[in-house]
Amino acid sequence: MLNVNDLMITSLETVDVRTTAGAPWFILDELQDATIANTQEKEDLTGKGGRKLGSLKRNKSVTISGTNGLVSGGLLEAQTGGEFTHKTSTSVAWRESLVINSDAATTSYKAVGTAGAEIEALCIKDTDGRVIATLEQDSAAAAGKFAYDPSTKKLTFLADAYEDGQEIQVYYKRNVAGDVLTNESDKYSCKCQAFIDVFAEDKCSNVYHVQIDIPKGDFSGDFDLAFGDSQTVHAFEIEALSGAGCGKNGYLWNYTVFGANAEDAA
Amino acid sequence: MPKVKKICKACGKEYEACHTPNPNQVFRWFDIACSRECAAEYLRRVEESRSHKTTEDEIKE
Repeated sequence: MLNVNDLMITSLETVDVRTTAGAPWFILDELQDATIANTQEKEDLTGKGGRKLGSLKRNKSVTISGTNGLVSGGLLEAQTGGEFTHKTSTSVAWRESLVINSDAATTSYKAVGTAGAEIEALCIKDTDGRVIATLEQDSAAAAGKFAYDPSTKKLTFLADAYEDGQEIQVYYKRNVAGDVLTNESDKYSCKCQAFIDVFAEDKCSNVYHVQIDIPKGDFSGDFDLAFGDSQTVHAFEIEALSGAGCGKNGYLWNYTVFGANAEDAA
Repeated sequence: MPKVKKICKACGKEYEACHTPNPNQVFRWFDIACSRECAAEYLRRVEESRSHKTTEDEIKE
């Protein structure tokens, strides 16, 4: 059969990821690149003098990989096997530099934790910013000790022990509302259904939409989030699996080309 | 294995502390004291100190 579907891929649009049951999960729409790597093993069947008679082909494998320009929450869920939950109160570690005035200082936020030990550490600094002493929280201010009242956020120091303007560093935990994803040690990356959408043009500048449908994929749990002097990108890898539709389907992917403005077909 | 030592906030004695994290902020007496009794005594002092402060602050205001 003559095939004239020769296309220039002009734009990588999205990877639309759905659950194995088909429910929408997340969309990667700031993709920098995507690759569909196809492999198969081939063993030569030989005859007299080693001449090749045929081949035994097996182990067809497809891996879809790519890089998203944004860190995707949905992708993190798929890669860790976790699920974002909105928590009205979750603790975060906090530290801040404060200044003692009139034997007291006030934390910016309410420290939480075991009553009477809400402040995890308090360091006294010299004018060069070096730590010269560490104080312990106690029920009342004393030598080497300070008191803290979470209701007023007030730190109290021994009277006249420190001059006004003395810098201190305080470490504590505070509660915030936030979305939390937990990477459990005994939960693993998830399976999914994925659709890769790209735009293409033929030699006559007709625009086509190409959709690559991976009916069953398995996310790799290997990923890096590199933070530093360059953009943090979110790379992913999905291994296509045979047997979508409860084992009925043996295909790894479909590559469908249709007009960008194609009408509905019957 | 290295042991974590803490000073009991009630009696001032050094004790072997558990150093596992407490992310849910459940009250654990061994975070502050060497025994349940010492923890109770320390909490009593903290509550007393905080209630006094609150009263003083209210009077000042």
